[in-house]
Amino acid sequence: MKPIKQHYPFLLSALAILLMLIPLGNVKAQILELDQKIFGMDCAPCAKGVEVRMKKMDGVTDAEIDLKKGEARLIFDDAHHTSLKQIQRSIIDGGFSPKDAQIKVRGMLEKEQDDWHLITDTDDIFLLKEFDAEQYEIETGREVTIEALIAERDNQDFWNLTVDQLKATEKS
Amino acid sequence: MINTRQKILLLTIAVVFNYSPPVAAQGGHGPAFGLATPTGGKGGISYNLTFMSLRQDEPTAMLRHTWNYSPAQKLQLNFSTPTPIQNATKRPRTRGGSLMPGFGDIELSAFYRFHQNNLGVGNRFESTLITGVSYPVDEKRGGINSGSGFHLAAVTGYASRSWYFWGGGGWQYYAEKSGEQLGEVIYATGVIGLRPRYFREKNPHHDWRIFLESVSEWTGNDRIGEVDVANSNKQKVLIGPSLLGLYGAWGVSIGMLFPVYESAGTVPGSLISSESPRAMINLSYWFF
Repeated sequence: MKPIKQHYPFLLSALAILLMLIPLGNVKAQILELDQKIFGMDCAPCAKGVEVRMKKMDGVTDAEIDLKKGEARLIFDDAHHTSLKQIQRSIIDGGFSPKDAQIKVRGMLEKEQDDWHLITDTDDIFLLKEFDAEQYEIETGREVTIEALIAERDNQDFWNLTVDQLKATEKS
Repeated sequence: MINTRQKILLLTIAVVFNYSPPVAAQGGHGPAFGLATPTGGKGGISYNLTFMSLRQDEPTAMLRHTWNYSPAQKLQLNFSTPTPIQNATKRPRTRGGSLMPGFGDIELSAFYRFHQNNLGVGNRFESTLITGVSYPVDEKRGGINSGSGFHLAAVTGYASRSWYFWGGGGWQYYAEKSGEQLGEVIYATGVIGLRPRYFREKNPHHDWRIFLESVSEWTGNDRIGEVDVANSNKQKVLIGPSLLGLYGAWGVSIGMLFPVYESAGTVPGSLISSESPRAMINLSYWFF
């Protein structure tokens, strides 16, 4: 048997890695609710098809289609990695067009030059349009939950968010 | 007759379609007889069981199984096989329903939605190109050898929560077989549909709509040894109602077409008699 001291470097490294992972595990940065406007959906099986597609997505706890309004309402759990890109892709694959949406999303606020971004666990990049940080007394690096209107995507790499409400997560 | 290799090929295709995993799909089947734009979503699979009745001197009835699969949002592949119930030597030369092949044909077809504009909530304007190849299961039709077929059609239309409009046309060609050739069929269809207000709700359990359909057909002369068979051609116009009901993954469609104009049949010397009304019942299932 080797003395335990010889294992210290390995044990310390493992502990360091574990400590680094703990904060990541606590980050819950994702879409919480989504009301997605859909164009072109006219019939009950169309709606059923879209609903079934959405219910199969990671983290979706409830999906409901309103044919009259042309809207899909999605509720998510707080530990998923489904992106808005994936949701809208599933609508396009169904033969319809995703338009603007109302979203409730949690993420990390980041300021780059004059632009404010909301970073989530997915590859979605949310750009906060005309965002006044002073109004919310918020600083970069804070975890927040935002309710916002998302404009229809126009081939850009990010989503334009018009913030309705912002709530900072309490610092632990 | 189908040989053993062809039977194995058909069985393989049927098994592949049968055992594909059920994935999300959505449909929007429309009229019973007229051309329409299909709306299968990517990965969608559906099945249609169709009963069709035609009469020209003698009654003719057919059951047809059609499998639909959409490998992409804009593309739908279809495989259709007939089961004759009541066969007649002289039956109307038609594709039956415009989204179906002729009475005795096995058909592999593709629908390509080359244009789509989702105009608003519940509204869309789209156009589809339809093409297919067919293989006959019968030896002769009206005394003429049945050859392989080729079908080409196009349709454009508007769908909404209240009104539907489709207009289209197509061409069915039959290849020569042992010196004989069935006459081609050129056709045009028009459809107007209405979903009653009661079924335009938020999330209806039932979805019903009614259609008024018209089919105009120009059937060419059959040919024997490079010579046209005189008076074997015909032009006709048929109009009639159909009803489509959808519930969950199920759909049922019932329709009738009544001849309102026939160029032959009443003409002395014509080889073709007048046609009686056509009837169709279609049962659809979507594998969600």
